[in-house]
Amino acid sequence: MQKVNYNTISSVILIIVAGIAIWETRGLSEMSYVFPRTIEIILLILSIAYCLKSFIRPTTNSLFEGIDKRKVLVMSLAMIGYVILISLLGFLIASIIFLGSLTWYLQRDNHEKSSKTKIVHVSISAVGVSVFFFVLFRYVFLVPLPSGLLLG
Amino acid sequence: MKKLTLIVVSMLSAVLVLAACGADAGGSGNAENYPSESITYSIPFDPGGQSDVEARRQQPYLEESLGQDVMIQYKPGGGGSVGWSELIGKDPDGHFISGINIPHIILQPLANDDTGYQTEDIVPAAIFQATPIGIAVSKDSDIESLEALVNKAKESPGSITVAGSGRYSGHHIALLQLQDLAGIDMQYVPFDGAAPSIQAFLGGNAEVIFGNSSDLIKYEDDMNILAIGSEKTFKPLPDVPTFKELGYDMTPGIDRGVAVPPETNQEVIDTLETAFLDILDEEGVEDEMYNEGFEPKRMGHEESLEYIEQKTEEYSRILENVEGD
Amino acid sequence: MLEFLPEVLSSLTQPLNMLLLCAGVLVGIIVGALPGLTATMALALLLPFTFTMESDTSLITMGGLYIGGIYGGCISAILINTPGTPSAIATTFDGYPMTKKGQASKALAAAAISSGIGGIIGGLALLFLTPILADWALNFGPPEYFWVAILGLTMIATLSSGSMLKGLIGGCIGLLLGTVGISPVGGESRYTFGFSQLQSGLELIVILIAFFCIPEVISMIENKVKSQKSVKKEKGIVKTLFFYIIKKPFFLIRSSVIGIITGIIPGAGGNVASLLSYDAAVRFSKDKKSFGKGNVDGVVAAETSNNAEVGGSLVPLLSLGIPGAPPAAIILGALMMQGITPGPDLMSQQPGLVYTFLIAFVAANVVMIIFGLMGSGYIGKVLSIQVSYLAPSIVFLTIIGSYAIRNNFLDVALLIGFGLLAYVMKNAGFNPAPIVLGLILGPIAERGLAQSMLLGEASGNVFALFFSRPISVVLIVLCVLSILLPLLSNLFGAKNEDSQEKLGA
Repeated sequence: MQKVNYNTISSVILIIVAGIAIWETRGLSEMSYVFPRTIEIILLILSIAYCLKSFIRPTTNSLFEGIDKRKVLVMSLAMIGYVILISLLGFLIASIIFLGSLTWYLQRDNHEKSSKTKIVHVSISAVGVSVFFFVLFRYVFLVPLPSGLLLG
Repeated sequence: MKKLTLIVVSMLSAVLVLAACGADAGGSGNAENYPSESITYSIPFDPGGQSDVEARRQQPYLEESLGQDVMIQYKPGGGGSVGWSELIGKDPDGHFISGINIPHIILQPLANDDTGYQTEDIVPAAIFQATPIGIAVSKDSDIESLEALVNKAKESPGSITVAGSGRYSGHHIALLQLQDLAGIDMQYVPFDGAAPSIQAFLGGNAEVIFGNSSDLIKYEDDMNILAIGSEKTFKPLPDVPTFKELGYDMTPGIDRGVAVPPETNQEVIDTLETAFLDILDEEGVEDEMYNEGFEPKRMGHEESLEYIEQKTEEYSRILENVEGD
Repeated sequence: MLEFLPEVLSSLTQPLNMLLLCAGVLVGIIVGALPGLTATMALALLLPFTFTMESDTSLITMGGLYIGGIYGGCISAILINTPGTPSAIATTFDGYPMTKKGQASKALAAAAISSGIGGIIGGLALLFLTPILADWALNFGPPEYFWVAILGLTMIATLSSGSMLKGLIGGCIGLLLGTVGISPVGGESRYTFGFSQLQSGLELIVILIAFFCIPEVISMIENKVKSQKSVKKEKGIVKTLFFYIIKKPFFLIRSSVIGIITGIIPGAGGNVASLLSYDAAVRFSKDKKSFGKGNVDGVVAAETSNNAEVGGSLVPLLSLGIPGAPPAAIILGALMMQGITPGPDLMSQQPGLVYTFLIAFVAANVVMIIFGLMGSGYIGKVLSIQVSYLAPSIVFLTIIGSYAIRNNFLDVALLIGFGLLAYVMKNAGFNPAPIVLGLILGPIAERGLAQSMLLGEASGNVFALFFSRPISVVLIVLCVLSILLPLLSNLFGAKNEDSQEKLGA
């Protein structure tokens, strides 16, 4: 990220995306391709302009400057993990685990409370929030929330 | 503090036990005591649509005859394909049923490879209602009859605009069929549903419209209905000739029924068939249907299967003709 | 209509109807505030209950719910940058920055007042102008839809803070995302990559939450000082705000008119209305730079028009039987289940019922202002929850919401996938607003374009169809003005900071 400008990288990605999208319109009838293909060509031209600009006037700062990358990474992984857990364990249990563990992680710098108190608070809130909304949606709004492959 | 921990632990375990129970209950399915739990009746269209109106009418009767709660669930998307893809993956225990529409379930797999279900996967229990499709022109139009329209189309091929709902839909196939039988060529403009196509038609953006009977009745004063797709004279529109009477062997319409996932037990299918078809005998139901522009139909499981097969052949042929052009 | 007044009043003053009106508004606000639960869905849930009600009662309840639902969307938009309903997108642009400055209560109160005023103006238009407006709506054909969408896209200029080039690229990405699924005119499925669920396209609400909310939640935990800012309570703020807002009659009427017109056109909903009105507010403002940084006028413009749109969307329903927006479609279904088929003759056949509904509609807006103002002081308290509890709970709610829209697990995966992408893009300088704008307008533009091409082919002159119809010409002129005016004002008003910034971008 230091040597290569992030604008150059994103413009190259955009050019590739536009290229693939144009390729995907092959075999469609005129009424299906006329709109997307027009947009893709415009996108391709804009991306090339963006690419050129990134060389002519390179930005000096790097992506994610001044951001606590570790926290962001943990948060992102937690969300991805949450989705996978839902598909395995079902909505309710996955939510309790996600809410509990993420809240626990975010409180790790907080030294005011003893860890025992933290565990109790975290568990209560995780179980309470999950169960409340599960019941609300399942029985009041009649939205069946996802069940997992392993557990109901 | 201990007390709190105890509460939390007990809550957690209660939840786990509940979840485990839920898992058990979901798996069981016994044809003998069907239905043993509440039934989800999935409507693959938006709430308030025609399929929904019918399902809402049926709901109380079904709950009475089946002795279980019937929950209506909406799963709109892809002109119904999202809902039907879900149906074929469900447990074949009869506790998940879905409304079906013909020709949708035939045309979608024919049109796109990635539809997510095949027509054969859908097991109909009954077909109970139909909306005949009619063809109409504006009240101000100089076209007075279907014959005049056909003649005009012969004179200037491709210049008459026809509004309808969607491509590879009931309206589209009706147009293709008419073009095929009459040897004409018109310009079909698909809209995003029946309401937008009517709006475009009333606004003068298209000369001709293919519409569902219910909509045609609603706008009877603004249009001149040339023909309707029912087998015999359609009760609510006694003065309108059918396509057949005019010499075109076609009965375009949208048939509505109910289906179960593949490999469902025959007894379950029979129970549902009876439950759904008996509703038509309830007092006032048929009249209500006619008033809303629907035509009651009575097809059981076997009959529906044959009907779908016959329509599939018919439509594949029409589509092949078009692609052969 | 005066001859129906006694019937209308006796129906409205029934305790049950009054109670259900208030309950409808309240439930609507709550449902609207939860991301993923929309006014449409609330109405669908209510549908079975209306079955057993009298037809006036069911219409009154549904009207209240609809109004409450559209307003409720602004609450989560203001507090956590998540439009609770798509109509509240433009409310996030200035509402959330206001929250960041500690002015959440002020933003909520402003939203309540302006929503109510917009709703009332929309209701009055519905009451008095329905027949005229309905005829006008019919003049909207495919070419006009195309030009409206293009006009909407010119907003990219207003919405792309920072780099215009990145704004345009974002707009294109949004338009492309809008083409996923079965082609509206061609009937073939595109870009589904084998997922049959994608045939119906990407769900707007999922993408909205992904692009607006997820990046914000990530920033929230990464920089935990931000949201702990307490909500300041100012005394007399409601009164000050009220006079501030009603002292701008032109501003209010413009926003309402945009809302009403957008509502009448079937197919364009509150989201388009609020975006167009926000855009107009920015363009006509003397202080353009303060928008997007917490200018209360941005909230007022967006909320006035998305509630005025509700009235507009009922115009084609009551006069032609054509629902102008998805929630209106459900009201149509409810009417059908009551044995009433809304069509061109509804007004002449059921005048008492229609007028009862219309008066109740205006009354519901008043109820909504009251509830909104009462709540604005308290709802803001949500923000005083610690980030370690708040952030995971927001993620949890968005997951439920995105699943609840159409019971589809793929939407949950898409939410997180696009959310993370949006976070990276935001850091690379791509503002989410143009992307979402493209996604909303793309399908409208595509349908308009393809249908016009088919119609043009039949008439033998595609060009004339696009460029010679009266409304089209007006729209084209607006598009050109919308693109040229900022350039011209930059040329003449040279050397102010604003123009330098745009050139630099």
